[in-house]
Amino acid sequence: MKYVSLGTSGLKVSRVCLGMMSYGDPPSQPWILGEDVAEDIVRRAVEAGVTFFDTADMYSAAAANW
Amino acid sequence: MTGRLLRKYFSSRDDYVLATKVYFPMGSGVALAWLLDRPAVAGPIVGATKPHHLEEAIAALDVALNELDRAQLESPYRPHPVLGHS
Repeated sequence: MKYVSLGTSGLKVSRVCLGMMSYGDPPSQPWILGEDVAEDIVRRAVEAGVTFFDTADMYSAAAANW
Repeated sequence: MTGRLLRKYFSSRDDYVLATKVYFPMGSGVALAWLLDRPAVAGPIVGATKPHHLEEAIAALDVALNELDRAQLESPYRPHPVLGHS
């Protein structure tokens, strides 16, 4: 994994950001992955060095948030 | 097989050489490589619903674009006028 400074925030983040809009439990849309399936992808991302995650209150009616 | 698929989408060999720099099953790797190459982009947000989406995004980190690659990728783009702001 490669890392980069995020603007002027002082944060160092991975150059790949995992977008989490398609994860949520219970799935609020047919294309949303539940936790059992999503966890495998998140674990792989973390193991690959990803430290940059995109999530929001509105993703899957807040279920993706933590 | 990949050659056949690429010929479907590109008219000449020169146009698809870039796509074969690294084997990307989804083709999104080249797009990610271009985004990663943009000075203003810290990191593209990659939504992964299958493990290989993630693997492809990580592989794109190792694709180095040269001037010719950039020119090739950017040549079809036509700037649009700004609308809705006066």
